[in-house]
Amino acid sequence: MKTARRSLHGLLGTQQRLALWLGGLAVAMACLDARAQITAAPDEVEAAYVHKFLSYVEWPPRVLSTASAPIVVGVAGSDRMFDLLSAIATSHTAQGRAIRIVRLGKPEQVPDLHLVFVGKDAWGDLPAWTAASKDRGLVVATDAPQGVDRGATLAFVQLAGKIRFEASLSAAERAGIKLSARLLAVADRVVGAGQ
Amino acid sequence: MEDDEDSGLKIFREFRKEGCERLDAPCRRAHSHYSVQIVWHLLSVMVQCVTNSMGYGPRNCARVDADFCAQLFEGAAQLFDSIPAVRPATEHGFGAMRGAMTQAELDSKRTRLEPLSFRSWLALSSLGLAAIACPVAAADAQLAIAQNLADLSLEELREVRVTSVSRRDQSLLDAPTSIYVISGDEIRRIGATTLPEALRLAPNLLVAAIDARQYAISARGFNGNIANKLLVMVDGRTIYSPLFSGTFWDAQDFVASDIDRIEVISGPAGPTWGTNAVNGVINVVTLSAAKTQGASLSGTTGNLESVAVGRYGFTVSDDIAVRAHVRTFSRDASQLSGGGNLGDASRGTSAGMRADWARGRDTVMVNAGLYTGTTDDRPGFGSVDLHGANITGRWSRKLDDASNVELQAYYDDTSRKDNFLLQEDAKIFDVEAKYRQTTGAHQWLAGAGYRWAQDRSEPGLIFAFFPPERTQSWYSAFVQDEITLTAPLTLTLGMRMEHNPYSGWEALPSVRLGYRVGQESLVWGALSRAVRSPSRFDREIFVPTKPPFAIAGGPNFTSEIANVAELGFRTQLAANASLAATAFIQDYDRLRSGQIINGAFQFENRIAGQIRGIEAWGNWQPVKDWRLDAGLLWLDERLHLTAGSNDPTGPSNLGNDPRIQWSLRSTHTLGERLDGTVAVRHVGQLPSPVIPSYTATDATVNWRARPDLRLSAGVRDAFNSGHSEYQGFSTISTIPRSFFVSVSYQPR
Repeated sequence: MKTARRSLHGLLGTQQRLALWLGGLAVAMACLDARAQITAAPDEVEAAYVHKFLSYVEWPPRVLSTASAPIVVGVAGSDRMFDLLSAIATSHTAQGRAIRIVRLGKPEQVPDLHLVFVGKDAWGDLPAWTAASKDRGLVVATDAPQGVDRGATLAFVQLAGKIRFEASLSAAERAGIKLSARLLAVADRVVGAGQ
Repeated sequence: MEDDEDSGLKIFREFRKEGCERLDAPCRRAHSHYSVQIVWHLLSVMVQCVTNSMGYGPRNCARVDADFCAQLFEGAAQLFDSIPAVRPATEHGFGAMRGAMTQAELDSKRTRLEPLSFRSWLALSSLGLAAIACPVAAADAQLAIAQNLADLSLEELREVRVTSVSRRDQSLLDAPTSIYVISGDEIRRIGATTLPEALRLAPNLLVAAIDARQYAISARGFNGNIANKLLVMVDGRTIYSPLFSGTFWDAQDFVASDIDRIEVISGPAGPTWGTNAVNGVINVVTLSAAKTQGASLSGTTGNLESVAVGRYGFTVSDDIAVRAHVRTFSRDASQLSGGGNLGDASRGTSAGMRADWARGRDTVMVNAGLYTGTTDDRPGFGSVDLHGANITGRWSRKLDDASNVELQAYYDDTSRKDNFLLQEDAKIFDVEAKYRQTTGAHQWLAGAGYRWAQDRSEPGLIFAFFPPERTQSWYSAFVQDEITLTAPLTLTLGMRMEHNPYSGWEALPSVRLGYRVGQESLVWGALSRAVRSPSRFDREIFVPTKPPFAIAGGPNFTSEIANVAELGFRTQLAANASLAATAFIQDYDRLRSGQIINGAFQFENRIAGQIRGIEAWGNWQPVKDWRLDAGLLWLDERLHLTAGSNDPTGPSNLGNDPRIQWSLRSTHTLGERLDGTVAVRHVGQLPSPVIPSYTATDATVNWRARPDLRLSAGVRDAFNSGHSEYQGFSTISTIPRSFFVSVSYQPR
């Protein structure tokens, strides 16, 4: 033991030795820290939310006619969200149904959809999408600022480094869908309540 | 999956069971058995992660058990503690070296130095592995989590912390070229006060301080006092001297707080940038005046230099913003490695302004600078006196959604009086027009440029240029088309024709192919031809200044040619980790050599050969408060004289490059107001003349004492008393350990 200690002093100066130990300690601490935290990119979290939303929305029977009909999610204005949702859709279902992701352009011609995500490059089209959702059983989700105040059904907000969402009961009613109580309980803010 | 999770820990279970924690204890197997297992385990995890990120393989990345890294660290620490006696290495340490050393002298020193035993190396490298193992283990976990977010409940999703750091610009991920971007924040965090010190952050650059004022900076080899294959620009203005196609680093103004980013491209970029971009391009981009408003004062002082900068930014109207600055510095003389100093203590003042105007479809930028500097009287050579002024203007107009035009012009007047090295009075006027258009799958870029330079060089004590004064012009035209062949496949074709006064027209073609693998990865390849056209230094230099000459110019010297093949890979492993690697072969022909003709040297083009290498870098941010950056550069130079050459020195005149260089930088945010950086860089031995390898550790701490006040302190090369990085024309300086403190005040 004694030889070993002495040799260490010989091999590296006291300073170097101290630096190595401190460096090692920093690495070890950072390691422990890394294990305790879950971090992800905002759009990855939002994609996971969008997938979750599909389980907590009740669509009218006319838009989900057969038991095997897939839930169709459209993405406008975000290639990244399209890719993320496509990846999730390959291995996940919602309400026992397959999920189909489609890329959308302008809101003029809307295919049969159950949810549309309006991404950054299409924020300007948000009013048109909310108008298009009327009586069509279409959920409008977006990460645009003040999304629910601008007519979206569900909108993301970033709070203290975490992604939260807000819900609009009036928008849901306009589209003819129901948001489950569980979803509303988790929402940070629910507008148009009591109707 | 279960087996994978276990295999890391299994190594340690066995390791302990057999009593192998100590090197001096009996252990059934050789310690190398375990190190091989550990390395193998880590590699397999990394490969799995990469293939997963590319969309192949199982959806869940096999995870290193979280305890693995802790176990590895502990095991390595125990091994480290039990190293048997080794003779002190420090008494022969390179820090103690004095003067230039021949290879033979160095070898004799080396043989006297008792080598570390294999077991000791094993222990030490295990400790190094611990540092690597943790990032891998956790980055892997991050990836798995990112992919599995969809399995979390709504409540759990609410608690996921989001990070937007380290996901590089998408355009950067798309570029089929070897590019590293130094952010302005990084520069400010490490407290860099000069452009060369900031450039040390780029893993694809070779940066060596020659003395207290001068640097040798290059990419992919040929580094030297007169490095000439790197194009350096500040806001579009080329800052190299037409005299020798290199950069005088001591004449460059630098205000860290005004830097937006520095883009460093290694490899040829001729089609877009021109004939000097043979081995790389550095593009310093400053923040717009609108982003640097209000007053800012900062001062740095330490045992090597003192710098003070004052800046003021204001708006003239809604669409015009202006900023101006004054900077002054003084720097100590550099210490010679044989004792004494060079007598080159220097001081100087510079001032600059930038104005930005934006209205509708037009933007205009005007940038101007002035500087003056001097050194002490060096024994026998007098002082070095510098001054200069420059102005750059750029106007761009958006024609429609798919096209824009840009016109840029600058005028640069520089003066340098240095009896020992080069003297120069140069005036340069440069104008360039660019047009961009996107039509369907094509992104066109076309342009034309013209440069005029008047250059006067009075004979010094050693060098003279004949004729002393020259007026020259260059013109060029280029076109590039980026074609989206299919969604993931992009082809970029580029061609530039450039006319120079010595060798006439030169063609610089290139072909680049980029293939996107999933959202996060890019595989790219490129073939380019790069040219360095002759400069006055190659054709018109004479030593001594009167006949009979030892060096009599290079009347036959013509352009140096490089044909370059590159293969690169870039990937975003997870939201918080990325990796880039490039392998390249630069095949050179007609490099500069000396030829003895009638008893005097003349420059000719009789060196050829290849430089092969690998550049790689990555970053990983496990948590918001901690980021690791690592870089690696490996060079293999095989240059030779061609038939008919009688150059007695050969390729070593072209540059002095390490075979290997690596760096590791750890950035910590310690609470709201405190951050710190520890950076280690290693540069391998330079072969000729021999400069020993060195490992330098820099540390900086920044404390935001008040919203308007920041205090910083730092140390450079903390664990050595000093080291040498490059040999100047006749001397080797020691770059000493240095300390600095700085204060920066920005009233709200």
